[in-house]
Amino acid sequence: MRILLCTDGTPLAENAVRFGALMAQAGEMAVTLLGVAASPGAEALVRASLARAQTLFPARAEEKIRTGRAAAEIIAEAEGGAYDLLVAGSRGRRGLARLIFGSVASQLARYARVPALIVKGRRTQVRRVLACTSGDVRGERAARWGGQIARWLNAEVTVLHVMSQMALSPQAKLDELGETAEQAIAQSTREGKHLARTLELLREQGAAANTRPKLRHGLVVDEVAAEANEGDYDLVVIGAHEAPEMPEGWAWLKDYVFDDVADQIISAVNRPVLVVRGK
Amino acid sequence: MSTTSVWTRRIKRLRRINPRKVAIFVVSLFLFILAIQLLKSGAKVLVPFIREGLAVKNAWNALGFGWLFAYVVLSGSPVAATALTFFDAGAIDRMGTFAMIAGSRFGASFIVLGLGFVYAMRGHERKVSVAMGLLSFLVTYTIYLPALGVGYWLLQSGALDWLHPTAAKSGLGSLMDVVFNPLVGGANATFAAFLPSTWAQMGVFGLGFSVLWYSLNLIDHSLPDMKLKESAFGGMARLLYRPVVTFALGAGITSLTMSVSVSLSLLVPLSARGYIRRENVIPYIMGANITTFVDTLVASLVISNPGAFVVVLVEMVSVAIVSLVILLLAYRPYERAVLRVVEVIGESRRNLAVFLLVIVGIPVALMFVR
Repeated sequence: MRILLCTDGTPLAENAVRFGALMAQAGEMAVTLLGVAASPGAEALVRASLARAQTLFPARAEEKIRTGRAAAEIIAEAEGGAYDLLVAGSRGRRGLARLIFGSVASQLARYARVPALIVKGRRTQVRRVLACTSGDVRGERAARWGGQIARWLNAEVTVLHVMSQMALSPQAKLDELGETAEQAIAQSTREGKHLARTLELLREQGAAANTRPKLRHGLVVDEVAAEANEGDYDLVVIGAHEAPEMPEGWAWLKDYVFDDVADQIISAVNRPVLVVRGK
Repeated sequence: MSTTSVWTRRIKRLRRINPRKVAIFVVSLFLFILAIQLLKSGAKVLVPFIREGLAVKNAWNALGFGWLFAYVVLSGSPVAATALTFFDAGAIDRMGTFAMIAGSRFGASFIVLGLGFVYAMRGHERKVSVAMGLLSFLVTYTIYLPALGVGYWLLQSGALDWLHPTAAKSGLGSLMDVVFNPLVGGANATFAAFLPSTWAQMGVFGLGFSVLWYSLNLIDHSLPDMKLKESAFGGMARLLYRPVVTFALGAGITSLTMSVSVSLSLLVPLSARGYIRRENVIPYIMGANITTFVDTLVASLVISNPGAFVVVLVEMVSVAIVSLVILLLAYRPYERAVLRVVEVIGESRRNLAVFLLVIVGIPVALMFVR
C-alpha cells in the first residue's frame, strides 16, 4: 500500500505528517512525502519541513514538491500516483471563517478519489477507533478501514450507527426508536442486521477481539461528535459524501439537494477523521 | 417526435386522471365557497357575542380565541376561514384577524400531538410516541411567535396593502353572486321560518361552519393518489437533504394538501417503516406552515374583502420571513434547541403535564388580557 503525507511547512501540517507516519509504519506502507508551497517563495520552508519529516522514517521516503493551491495540488498528486491513503492537516476553521477562507480538508474529503485522513489535534498513538456507518456500502467501507487500522495498531474499534429517525405513522415500530445496539442485533432490525454484518466484516479483518457495536439516537453529526468526545477516540472513520445518482441532465443538482454530512462531521469533530471513498 | 405520438401521450395522461376525484374536488370547491358565503351571512349577528360575550376586544384575545377554537374543532383551516368572516362582519379588526389566524395554527398543531398521546396510551414509550407531535407544535410555536411581531409591523405600516385584489364584482364575483346568493338566501329563509331572527342567523353561521368542515375533509379525499415512492426521492428516510430543499418540499406539497398533518402523512410512503429523519422533518414543517394558508387565501377571495386578503398574505409573508431567516442564518442552533426541548418535555410525565397545562392555560389567559 502507498501513503501520501502532505505538508505545507506549518506546525499543523507537520503534526499530520507525524500521525501519518504512525499509520505508515504500522501498515508497512510505501511513503511519499508531498510538500505544497503556496508560492515559489515558500518552497524553502516546505523543503525544511520535508527534511524534518524524513527523520521519522528509517529509510529515506520519496519526496515531491508542488507549488500552488494546497487542495488542488494534493488532489492532483493523489490522482496521478496510485496512492491508497493521503494524510493532511486541518486548521479546524468553522463558521464564517470556513465560509470565507474555505477549507482544504473539506475539499480533500469531497474531491480526493482516495481515502483522506484529516488530522486535527495532537495524537501520538491510536488506541481507540470509531468507525461510523450510515447503514449502506459506504459504512461498510468505513468499517473495513477502521478494522484494518485497528489490526495494524492493536486498537479497539467501536462501530457506530446513528438513528435520527422519528416515528411518523402508526406503521412505525416505536420500540425500535430507543433501542441499544445489542437489542437491535438481537431483534434483527434493519439497523441490527447492518451492525451484525459490520462486526462480521471486522472479524474478517482480524479486529474481532476489540470490537463493539453502538447505536445512538439523535442528529447524526451531533451524535458522532458526542460519541467521539465521550469515548475519547483517537481516530474517527466515516464514509465520504456520495450523493445518489440523479436523473439524466439533473446531476448538477446533487450538490444543492443533498447535505454533505461528512463535511459537517469533519468540522464538528476535534480529532483525526479518515474519510473513506472508493471501492 | 411525430404529432401522433405526442397526442398519444397526451391522451394517456388524460386517462390517468381519476374522474371520481375530479368530481369530488369540484363538489368540495363548491361546498367550500358556499360555506364561506353562509359564514359571511351569519357572522354579523355574532359580532356582539364575540365582542361582549366572549370579550374578544383586542389581538391577544383573538389569538387565544383562535387557539381554543382550533382545539375544539381539531382543525385550523375552518377557524382561519371563520376569522375572515368575523373580520368582514366587523367583529374583529385586521390585527385581531391576523392573531386569530395565528391562533388557529397553534391549535391545529395539537392534532399531531394528540395522535401521539393515543399511541402512548396504547402502551408505546411516551417519549417516542409524542416526539413528532411535540416537534410539530414547537416548530409552529417558535416560528409564529416572532412572526406575530413581523406581521404586526407589516399591518401597521401597510407595506403590503397595495397587493389587495382589485374589484372582484365583475366576472367571477358576479358569477358567485348568481350561483350562491339564492342558496344562501334559501338557507336564511329556512332558518327564519323556524327560529327568531338572531337564532336564525346563528343557525346559518353554524350550517356554514359545518359545511366548511365537511368541504375541507372532502378536499383531502380529492387529492390525487400521490405515489411518492422511496425511489422518487432517493430514499428520503436514509438521506439527509439540505434544509432548504425539504423546506421547499414541505411548502410545495402543502400548497396542494393545504394541511400540515396531511402533508406529513404523505411522507409515510417515502419510508416503508413509517419513520422520517429529524433533520428532514423540521424544515419540512417550516415550509408546510407557510402554504397551509392557501385555502384561507382562497376564502379571502371568496369573501371579496381586499382587507382579508391582505391579512392572510401578511400571515404567509411574516411566517416565510421568520422561517427563511432561521433557515439561512441560524438553522443548526435552532434545530438543536427545538429537539432538546422536545426531549426534555417528553422525558417525564410531569414535564408533559406541565407542557399541556401551559398550552391550554396560555390561550385561556390570553382571553383575559385587557
